[in-house]
Amino acid sequence: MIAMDVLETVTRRNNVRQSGRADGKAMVFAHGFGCDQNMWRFVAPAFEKDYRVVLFDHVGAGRSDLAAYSRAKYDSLQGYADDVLDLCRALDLRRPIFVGHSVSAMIGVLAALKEPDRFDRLVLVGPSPRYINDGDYVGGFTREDIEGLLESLDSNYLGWSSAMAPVIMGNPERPELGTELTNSFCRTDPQIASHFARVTFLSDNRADLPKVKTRSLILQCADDAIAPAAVGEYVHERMPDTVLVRMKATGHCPNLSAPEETIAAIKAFL
Amino acid sequence: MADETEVPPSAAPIEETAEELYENAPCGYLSARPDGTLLRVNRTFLAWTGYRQGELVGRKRFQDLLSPGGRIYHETHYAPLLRMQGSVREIAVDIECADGRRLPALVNSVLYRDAAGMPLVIRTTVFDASSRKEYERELLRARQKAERADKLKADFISMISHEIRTPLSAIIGIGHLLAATELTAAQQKYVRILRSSSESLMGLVNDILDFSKIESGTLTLEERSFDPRELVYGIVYGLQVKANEKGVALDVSVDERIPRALLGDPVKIGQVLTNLIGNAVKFTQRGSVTVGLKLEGRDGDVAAIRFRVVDTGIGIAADRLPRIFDDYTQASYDIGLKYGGTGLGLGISKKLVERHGSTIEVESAPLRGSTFSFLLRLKVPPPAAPEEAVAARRAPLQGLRVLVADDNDVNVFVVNGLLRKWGAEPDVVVNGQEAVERVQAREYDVVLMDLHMPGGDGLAATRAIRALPDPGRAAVPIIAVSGSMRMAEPHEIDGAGFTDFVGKPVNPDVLFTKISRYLVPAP
Repeated sequence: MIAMDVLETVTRRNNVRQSGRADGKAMVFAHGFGCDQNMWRFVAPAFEKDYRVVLFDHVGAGRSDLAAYSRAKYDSLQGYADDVLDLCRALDLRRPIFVGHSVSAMIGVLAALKEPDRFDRLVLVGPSPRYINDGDYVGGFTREDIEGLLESLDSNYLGWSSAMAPVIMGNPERPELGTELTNSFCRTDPQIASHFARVTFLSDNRADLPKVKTRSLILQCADDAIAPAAVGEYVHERMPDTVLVRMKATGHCPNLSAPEETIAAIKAFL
Repeated sequence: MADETEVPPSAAPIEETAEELYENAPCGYLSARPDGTLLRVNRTFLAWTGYRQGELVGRKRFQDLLSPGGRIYHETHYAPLLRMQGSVREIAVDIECADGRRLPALVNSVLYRDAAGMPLVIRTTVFDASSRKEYERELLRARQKAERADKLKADFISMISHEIRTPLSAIIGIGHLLAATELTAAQQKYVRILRSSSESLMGLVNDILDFSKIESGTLTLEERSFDPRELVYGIVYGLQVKANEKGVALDVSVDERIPRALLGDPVKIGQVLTNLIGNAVKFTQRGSVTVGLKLEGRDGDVAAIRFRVVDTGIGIAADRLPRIFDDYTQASYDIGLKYGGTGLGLGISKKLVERHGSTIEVESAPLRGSTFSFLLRLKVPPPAAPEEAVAARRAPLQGLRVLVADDNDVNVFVVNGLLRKWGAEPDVVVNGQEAVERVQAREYDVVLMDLHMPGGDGLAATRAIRALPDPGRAAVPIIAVSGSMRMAEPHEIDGAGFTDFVGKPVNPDVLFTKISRYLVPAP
């Protein structure tokens, strides 16, 4: 039985949006740290003809329900993975395809470990099981770098960047002027973003990779500062059933910078 | 420059080309390819950062000039936003200068596309934000200082509350012990007042402690298996005396489909229910308070359960409804005077329910009553692990036959639960007549006789048992269970032949002590 209340709760909590073929196989797109479901705006529509497309915001991002945030629950990526599983159950998604960008790649891995039969396939865009260097393992960052990121977040939230924009403009009676200035996509709650950053960049999921049974695609960009090529290789070697695709696209967000190439790679895998 | 004749003839020609403006603007200008590779950099930027044109153009990307943390920010926020919005405003970054210095800067970028919509060039303006950064640091320091002071205060409150709790627990404990001794009627009254006052003071201290925990963010929810019926019945049981005294009916209905066991924090959920039911009883003079648990949905191992408390009390005026959950707020000043309480309870309940990812809903009409409810999604644990080992270990009253005469489901549920936990075998009857019949039919080690059964026939039944022909059966220890002595005249109780008396709500320790006291030692 699908409880309407549970469905409503999850829909509100994660700002779930659905499109595409209602009777089609489901594709769940999960955004990474720093953004919200808008991340998928150039990619998701390409799957609407054949699939039931499910987009959502992690709690704390976009238009999710901030009241649902609990520091204890989201103190590890498992909290976010549990939300993904909640969502699959609430929407009654059978064997969906999970597409996770950046940290959501590992969130998908954790969800697939908890319910090994849940997902048909995983698509991991720029995955990294650990961002911090550790002995021989090269994640790309040091702990100090991560502290630098947190500082960067702080200065962008504390500052006038978005919250203070209307005041700077000196036009509180014309808020639309301020609104134009602010960054309207990818809104995140400052404190949650800072906590999410900590949880994301200090996480270590290397030991989880060998346990994943689900067939998975790894999309590795050229020159990705967040998830370097070596990390993609590492994931490919450790996870039992994976296909590694090295993309021409550069940077960490091929879903935005090279949507066509991203779409083609995913379609080829499916 | 368009019209030379406009320039006063005495003024020297002004070299104000666009080039000049670009190179010497009070901000840095950067042009870059969509991947960040720098195409053009103005002189201002070079002067600020100490780079030479040749070091940057065609060689470095904009993000290469950022600190590592800033680079992550660039990849996760800046670049995605720029792609999606076509522009980003007022992003704070630290630019690493040629000599390793970091220049705090604010950047604005615009992404230009070609006719086909493909990204062509990113144009970025860079503002020196050094002094602003200083202000921000000051602000941040001030905020952190304020937060620290706040936390210190919360810690202090928490520490003091703990300190108060220790002696208070001793007072309550001694009160219990004192109540179990032989006392005159006046002494009993004093002990009752002592106990109820110390318990309400304990309640207040606990509220303050919870409140400061919630405030300081140190309150955590446990997840363990509990029986929702036991929880609700236990709470209702505890509040029934007060309801009885006021003549307010206190009923419980638990949806049959609700699982036997749930995973959650029974203490916190219990706290919310105690507060809501306690309030309902407090603010209801006539009529009833109904507690309901309903299964609203079941999805896999998650059960969505609606907890509802409905009363026919004084209600809350519409204009006051929005404020009732505020900290330290009662709907109006005179409420506190008339009904007591600190007004902390609802605020705490609201926050506890919010910690569960839900909210308390309230509907109310003045003089008609109020309904408070909340929906919790709780996991259902896998089938319970065998508890026999536990039962065997602590079964001090193993095999004891106890007759419980009580017509109230809640009482029976609670007392039975206690007896079973101690290994006893309770039988239940719902009136005095049946009690007498049972005692005749079977040998019991002890009888718990409720004095609130309809018709007050607990007294009559006790007399009848004492008059039984079989001297063994007639002498069975009978413990009267009553919420208050007002329900029966003391001399009647004295004359009825009770062996002892237990007050309601039954304190497990007291009940255990009294039952043990009258057991015939095994031969």
